[in-house]
Amino acid sequence: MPSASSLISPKEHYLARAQQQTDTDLPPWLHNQRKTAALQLRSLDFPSPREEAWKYTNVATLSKICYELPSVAPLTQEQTATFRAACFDPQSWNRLVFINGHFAPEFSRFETLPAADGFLGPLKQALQNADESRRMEPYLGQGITPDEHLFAALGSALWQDGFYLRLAPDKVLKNPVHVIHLGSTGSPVLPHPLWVSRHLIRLERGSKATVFETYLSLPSESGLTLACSEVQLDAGANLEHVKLQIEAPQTDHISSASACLGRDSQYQLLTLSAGSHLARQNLRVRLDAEGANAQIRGLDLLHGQQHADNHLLIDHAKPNGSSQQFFKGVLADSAHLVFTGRIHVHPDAQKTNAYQLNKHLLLSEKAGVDSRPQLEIFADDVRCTHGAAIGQLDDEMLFYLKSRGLPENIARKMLTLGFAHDVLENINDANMKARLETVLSDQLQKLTHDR
Amino acid sequence: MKGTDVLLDQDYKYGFVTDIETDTIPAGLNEDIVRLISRKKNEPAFMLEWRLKAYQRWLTMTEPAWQRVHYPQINFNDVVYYSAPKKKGDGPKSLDEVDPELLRTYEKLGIPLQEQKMLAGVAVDAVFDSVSVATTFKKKLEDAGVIFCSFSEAIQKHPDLIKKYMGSVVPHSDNFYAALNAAVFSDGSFVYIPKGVRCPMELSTYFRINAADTGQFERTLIVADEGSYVSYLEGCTAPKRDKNQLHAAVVELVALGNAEIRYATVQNWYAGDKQGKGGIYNFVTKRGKCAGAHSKISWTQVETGSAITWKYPGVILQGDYSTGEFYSVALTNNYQQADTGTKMLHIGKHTKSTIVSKGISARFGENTYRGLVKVSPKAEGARNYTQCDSLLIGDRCIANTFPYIEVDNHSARVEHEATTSKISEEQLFYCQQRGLSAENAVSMIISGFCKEVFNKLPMEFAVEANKLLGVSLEGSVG
Repeated sequence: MPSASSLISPKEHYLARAQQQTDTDLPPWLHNQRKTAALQLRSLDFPSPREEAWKYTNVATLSKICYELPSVAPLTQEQTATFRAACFDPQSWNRLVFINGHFAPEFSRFETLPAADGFLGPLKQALQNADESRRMEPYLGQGITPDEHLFAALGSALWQDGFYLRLAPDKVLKNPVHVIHLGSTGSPVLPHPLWVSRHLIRLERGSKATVFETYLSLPSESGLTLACSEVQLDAGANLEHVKLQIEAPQTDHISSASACLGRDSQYQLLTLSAGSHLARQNLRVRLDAEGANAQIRGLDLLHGQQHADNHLLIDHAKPNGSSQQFFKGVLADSAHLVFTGRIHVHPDAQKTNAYQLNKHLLLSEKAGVDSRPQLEIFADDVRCTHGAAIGQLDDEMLFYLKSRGLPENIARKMLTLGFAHDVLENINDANMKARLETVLSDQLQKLTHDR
Repeated sequence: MKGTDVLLDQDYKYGFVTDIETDTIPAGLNEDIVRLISRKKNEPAFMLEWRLKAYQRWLTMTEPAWQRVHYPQINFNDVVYYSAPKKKGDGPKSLDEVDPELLRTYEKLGIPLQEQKMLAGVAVDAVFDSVSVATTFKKKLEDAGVIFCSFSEAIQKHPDLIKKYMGSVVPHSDNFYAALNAAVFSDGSFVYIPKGVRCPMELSTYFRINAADTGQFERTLIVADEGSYVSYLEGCTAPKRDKNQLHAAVVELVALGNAEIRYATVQNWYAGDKQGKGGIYNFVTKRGKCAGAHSKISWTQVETGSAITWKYPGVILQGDYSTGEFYSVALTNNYQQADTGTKMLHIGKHTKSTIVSKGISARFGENTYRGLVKVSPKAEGARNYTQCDSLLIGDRCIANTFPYIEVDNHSARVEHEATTSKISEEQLFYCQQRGLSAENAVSMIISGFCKEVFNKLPMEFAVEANKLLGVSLEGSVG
């Protein structure tokens, strides 16, 4: 039974949408970038499991749907309630809210930085400022280019808005920034909304910031999130970055993030993913100057039919860099988790110290994990290690707790929580930590409910 | 030159050529060549059928391109697929009838075929270019009921066993090079250990490529019947030539219930010169099947030779409680490349596998570990432990580690660890401070690095392997 949308292929549909983008207010350089992305889109196909990078993740289902860009619409009561639930941030924090990819000023509140200190606000607004636009040009769209895969091209061609943070040298942004992405069907109601956002964080020499991103959607949604974020840290800059993904179970989430680290800069990223039916995170960190440090941590809590795929590349391009990757997954029901983490050390990147560990806990018979930790070393004076472990709860530990009088299900919950919790250990901000712990225990409740 | 440099620069001492009359067929590959090889070996019809089936399949296949080794396009029509020392009459009935030139060759390689001179307790099957020239200790093995002979002989004398097991682990359609091998393989070794028999001695095959422009395509099949045990070792060398030569072998192991097979390889094919010219392309498919419960297959490999080594000896763990092991040392010096590792497929319940891989890259060498551990949904209680270490010598070498871990059963326990580092200054300093020369210090550290693997080799060969590593690394360390 052909419907109106199945008359054209999803790709043709997206190409048409790309052409309809009326960005007359965008600077010419960005306009050209979008045109290039649309051209790339034409030559790319949806990734198939035959490609090494997508071997374990099949996007066939979502490649058959024509997702539609929602327009700006006032929030319904239900939407407002969902949104309120995500607002754990104290009054002092900056908050930027995007609904369906569009900036929502009525829910946002943030300090306006003096031009000498930098810029904080929605990307589109920043582009109106000729100075900021000029400053953005060398970075926006450089970390994630549309030729990488079809979703990157889609993201580049169709993004609606996003957030932009720039800090001038030595500026410390005292209050964290909370960015909330809320997906809803919009008005008129769309069966398959497409939420496309693009973000840029640039911390100049010696500056420091904390950014917390929340991706969520209404429980009944079945849309697709495409998010691209680029991070540029200049010498000595320091960014603490947390991404929380708790989207509705029928949505899909494909994100690409790229960070470029300058001399002695520090990047700490934590991703906690518990939402979406299919979630794919592409993450690339380039240690582009001497002495840079990257700490990447991830926690996936999956149940039902969920499928998550973390695809990482840590690219050590210069000497004396260090990187740590620490990923854990807890899987219940028929959930499936994929981890691919590559450490690449260039010939000149001597004295590199790179570490990677991924550990996964299988709570049910049907859960599965595919893990590909990879080392690619072109230098000799390095120390690179990786480890992977997949298993279930330790019988001896269970026995120990039971012998102390705890019922089996409580003992299991305790051990599972203990396994997952150490990913959150290094979070400095108490509010943030509390929020993540709440999500963790709520999710574990779902994962261990009947066991 | 620093101590480590002296260690890497030693000549390949097995690089000589034996001047011997050969029976060589024209280069090229087509159906007639396949028929000619089969006819030369006087094979029964089922073999020709199988070869032709493989050849037809091979024609439809394309060369893989995912591997981390680089070589110019191979023209399969330039390769000579069959070359054998000329037989006098019906071929040798005993060692006394083997061409003395051949015996001298093996003696020069350190593999004397006269039984009184041999390592006591090791039976050798010597394969020269395309055919098996001699098998020692036949009598003693026969008394134990063990069949150890060349593959061609097995086809003539034990066609039922061949029909039953050939292709049962590596089918003719398995991959590009396995299909090629199935079509044109010339000889190899065949071993059958009957029920409950513990093979009274180590078995060994010594492969030698001599003729120019030939490819060597041998096929080895080892079947260990219920409750039996066998330990098998293969060694390989080839003359120095400027042109690359192709070696595409297939090894199949079948272990039935409670049987154990230990298979060790000391591979020292000619690696090419310091500029990376010449050398063997060692593209091999090796796989074992633990078909019965409580069976065990253990692969040990020391890969120091070949311009390119590209193989993944694996184990299909089908029987419940079966065990697979893989112990490997792969060395790439100068312009050598290696993409090697293992596949452990857990199918049966409570199956176990252990993987220990040591890669050493020196100078411009590129060394890749690639491995798969797959736990299928039914493989309850599967257990795997993997350790991959890489040692880097020199700042232009490359070390990659690409493990694939696929777990579809929650009761599985899979662990993987990998490290990459160079010999630390502290370790060197410590040894030198105790009076060792830099060269000895390095060689000691390297042999310590590889010890876990060498411990798995039969004793005589462990000593040999240690020496070999020293020789292959000569001059590159420092």
